[in-house]
Amino acid sequence: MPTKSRYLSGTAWRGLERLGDAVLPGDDQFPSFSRLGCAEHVDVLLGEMPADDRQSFITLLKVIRFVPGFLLRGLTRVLERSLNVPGPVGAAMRFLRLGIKGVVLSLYYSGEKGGSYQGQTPLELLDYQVSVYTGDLSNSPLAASGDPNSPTLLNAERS
Amino acid sequence: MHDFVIIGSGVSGGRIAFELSRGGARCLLLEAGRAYDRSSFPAGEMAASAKLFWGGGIEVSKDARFGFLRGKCLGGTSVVNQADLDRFDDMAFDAFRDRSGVSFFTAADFDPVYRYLEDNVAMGEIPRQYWNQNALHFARAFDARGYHWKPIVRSQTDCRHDQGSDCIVCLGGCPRDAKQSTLVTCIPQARELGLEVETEFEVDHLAEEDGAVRVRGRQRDQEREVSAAKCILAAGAFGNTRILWRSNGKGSRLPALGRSFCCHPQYMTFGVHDELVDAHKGPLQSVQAHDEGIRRQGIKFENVFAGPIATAMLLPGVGREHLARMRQLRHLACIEVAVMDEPTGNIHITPSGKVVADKKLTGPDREKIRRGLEMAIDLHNAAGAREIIRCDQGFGLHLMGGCPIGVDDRTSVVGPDFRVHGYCRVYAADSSIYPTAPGINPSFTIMALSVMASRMFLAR
Repeated sequence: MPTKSRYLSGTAWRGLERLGDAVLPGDDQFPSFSRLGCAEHVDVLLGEMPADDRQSFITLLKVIRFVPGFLLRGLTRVLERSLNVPGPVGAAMRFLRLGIKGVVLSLYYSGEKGGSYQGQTPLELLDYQVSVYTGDLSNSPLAASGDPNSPTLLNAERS
Repeated sequence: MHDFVIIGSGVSGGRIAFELSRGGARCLLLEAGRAYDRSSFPAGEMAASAKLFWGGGIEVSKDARFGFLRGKCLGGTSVVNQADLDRFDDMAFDAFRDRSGVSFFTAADFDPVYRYLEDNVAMGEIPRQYWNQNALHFARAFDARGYHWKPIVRSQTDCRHDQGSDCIVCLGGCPRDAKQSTLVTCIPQARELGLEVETEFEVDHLAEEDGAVRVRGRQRDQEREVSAAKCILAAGAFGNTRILWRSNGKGSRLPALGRSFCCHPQYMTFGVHDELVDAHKGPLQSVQAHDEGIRRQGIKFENVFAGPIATAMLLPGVGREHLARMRQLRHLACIEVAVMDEPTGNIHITPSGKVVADKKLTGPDREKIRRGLEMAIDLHNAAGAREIIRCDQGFGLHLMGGCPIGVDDRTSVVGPDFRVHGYCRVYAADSSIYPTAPGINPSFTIMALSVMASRMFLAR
């Protein structure tokens, strides 16, 4: 299966979508991870990961592709309770939890969506908006350079 | 040949590059990350986190109980921090002096350097009219419980809060250069004075040979080597430890290498309010605890918030439980608890060059955290929160130690002259030399140490 990632095979891609849906199944208002299509932007994350971490994560996704859904949902819930589990088992669980949530939540709340998703993103649904005023920079002594035609309110997403 | 090669461009490296260049020295600055400026910082929280931080966003401790954040870009952590500047108090100086044996850790010795910086770096408080609801809740809760607080002093200018600027954006680099990172205050000025800068150059090894220091590393997948008469390590607790470890091994030359790691372990607590709080709007941080009783307990409270991705990571729960919590995002007020931890952590480097920080909380650390969280919950109640969410995932933003300063080369890595033991031409003056945790934001004193070290280098 062709994917929109230069790092993920079809199997790993499907694993990511299944993993994302286990963490973020959606509800009547919020889309599920796979429906949002945010996985299309996964290379922003994978491209910056240290190579050995990236390879481990891709291997995990390939395994997850074949894990039954109920087990996957159970796993994400068990990992949530790993913060006080002692020893190497606890450490491994916490690594897994941070890795999974790090990728899935970053994509879901990035403000990005897939090409075929027509609805609002989770950030839009939350009405989360941030901006920094840059309208006066071309005349400011702070300006090292500046485009006088730049928009006066630069949205943080700069989309 | 350059007079100095400086490794790292953050709070210490950028400042040293400026001070030495202004003093007439010929300097080369090496930075492992990429160069961005206000017009090219990565767009959005996800890309900023992935591209501006080591580890693609976060690094974790050996047991994954802590996540660590450290900047990886030209300007280093000064680009991605909140630019809080606090002088050390006597409690911090006493702890530093007791632990290191270094006599200049006194308020009197640092006062002229702090004053020099205060005269030369734009800094100020956020006018009360621009405080957001998160800050007002914090101040009200402290007043209700009889604790003292004060406005935070930040290194910033012209944020234009009157035009609705939201400083949370600037955690991914400030798009108006209002944050006074070294990318704004030091590096451009030093470049005009002749500083040369190489980015995406990750240093792996250094050695003293033939009256010079040879520095080897990789730049965009190419092996590179540069040399200078002297080398200044300014790559922070993890970076400096890694370079010295790779250059020496964990050997007898530097028995204390990697020791004394501490990080002011931090935990977020959220109060859920019926009304909108919008803690992400306006100035991100305006006030902090300033209470002698709290300070004596080694606890620090900050008025802060995080972007939606970071908040989602911190909030407990998955599935619909998670979405229910995130729906309350705009109703969350936040108090962060940090503690003055004991410097018992160890940094070591794997054969492949990966940094591993072994950070375990001691009994006293855990007791401080327990008390701090209890107090934070009480403060949220005082502010009128209807529900309180405690986040058990710890994180560290202030990475200190690994190359502690001291007079005894069995227990320290750097001497009072900032020279690395066993070397003639290699120095450090950044957070890696902290002998213990100050319990105060470390940036301003890193800047001060960097100025002191620069003056010493120039005098020689």
